[in-house]
Amino acid sequence: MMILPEFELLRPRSVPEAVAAARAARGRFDFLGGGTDLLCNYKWGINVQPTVISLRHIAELRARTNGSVGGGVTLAELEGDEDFLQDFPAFRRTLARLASPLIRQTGTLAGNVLVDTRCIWLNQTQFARAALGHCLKADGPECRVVKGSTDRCYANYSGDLAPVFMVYGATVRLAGPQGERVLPLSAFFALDGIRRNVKAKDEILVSLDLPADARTLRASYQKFRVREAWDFPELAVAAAARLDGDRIEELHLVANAVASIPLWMEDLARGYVGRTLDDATIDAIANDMTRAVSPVRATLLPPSYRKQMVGVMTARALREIRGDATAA
Amino acid sequence: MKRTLVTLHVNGATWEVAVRPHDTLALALRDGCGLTGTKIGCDMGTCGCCTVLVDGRPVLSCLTLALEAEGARIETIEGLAGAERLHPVQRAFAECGGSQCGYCTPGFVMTSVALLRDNAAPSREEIKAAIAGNLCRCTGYAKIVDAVEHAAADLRAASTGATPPTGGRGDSGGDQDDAGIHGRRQPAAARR
Repeated sequence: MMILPEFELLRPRSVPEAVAAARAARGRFDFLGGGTDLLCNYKWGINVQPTVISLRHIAELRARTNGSVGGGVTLAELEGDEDFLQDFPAFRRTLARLASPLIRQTGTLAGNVLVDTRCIWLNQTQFARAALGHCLKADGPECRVVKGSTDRCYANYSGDLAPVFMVYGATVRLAGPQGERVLPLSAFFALDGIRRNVKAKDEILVSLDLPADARTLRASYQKFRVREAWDFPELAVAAAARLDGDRIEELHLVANAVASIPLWMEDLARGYVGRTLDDATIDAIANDMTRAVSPVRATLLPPSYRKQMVGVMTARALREIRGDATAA
Repeated sequence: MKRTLVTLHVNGATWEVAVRPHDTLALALRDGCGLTGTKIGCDMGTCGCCTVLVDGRPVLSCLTLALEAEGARIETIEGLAGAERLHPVQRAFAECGGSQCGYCTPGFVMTSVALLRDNAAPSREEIKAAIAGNLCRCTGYAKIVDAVEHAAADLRAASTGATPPTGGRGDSGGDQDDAGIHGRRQPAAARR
């Protein structure tokens, strides 16, 4: 049995109350959403904090309105929101293939976007990590994946929803001691397996908001994992495009689960605007995506294989967007 | 660490259990209420052995804090069967060979009950999708899917008063909503 370590549990009823509780805890706390990530890490003894602040009882975080999804909305609730899925159909398959049905019952949107980075060195019992000598992300002096790295962790980002929200052009709304701020989700992540994003520790992810014109984008999320249930992605590609006939008017690409953050390929995608989405263009984009990523050995499968598969998944995503019947 | 008295509504009875902030619902049910039908397998949300229903939804009790379940309506495997008969899902698991060592069975049964309340006639693919978070190392799953299919047919037949299509496998089991809830128990003293 995996015993949880001791902690104090706080259950605020509003965002300001939660922010105040976070401030009082002076950085030695974690927010709890569904608990399907945090409590596992705690059971492994990874970066345990003395205070846990549950966000489950804050009604504002459970709000769902036209294109806006509260951070506390569960993945199952989103999966059952037919209006949302009609407007943004790429989420239908993304949600159906995210973790397991049981995880989705309690796992939340914010929890998936902010999911802690994972690594074959890190996500093990305290006993195993001690035997291996610990690592930079928890209790150790240096990264074990990229040997010698003492200032950057290379653990892998494993969330599935952020890449899809990114290609749809979402913004993220944060609330903290200084009030609220809104920023593009594409600018939210920071390339470090420990820091992960620009959210301050005592800020709360209130919602992700999709722009009205996102409904006219055609999007696809292609995910590769070892098992078809529960597993985290070994790699994935999110793509969205606005087409005028076969001509690309707008293109957004994200390579996911091949670095410590979802990689926003803005320059690469912009280079293909105006081109025809034919087989040659799809192959060219797929090759560029393959060249642009450099996965490391933080997950189960070899980095060289994951790198090659980024191109395969890119092509599948673009063919699905084009409307090819057998693309997915 | 200081314990808090938490009120849990389990299988129609009210329990008061003294828990610590980091105690999971699985521990509270097993050690606090003595309801050991809920099994702890991986204890990491992977295997689904610990599945219980919280306000009708299948939930991993190993990753749910007991304090967070306060006030919710909790159903465990013990709450399904009547005094003298099994719930149709339990009976189908037994008759179809959907249970071998049995350790994962309470989780599968609770997940299946939740599925059949939402979807009275699931396809085999829908059943497979619903139980994708439950692991079994004995059966190979085919007989589990058979069992859920049979249970669905039994429940549909019971709701219309028709003879189950797999007749001869015992009594019809009755409606699922009244098949399992025990009488309200007296509050029990906390064991922990």
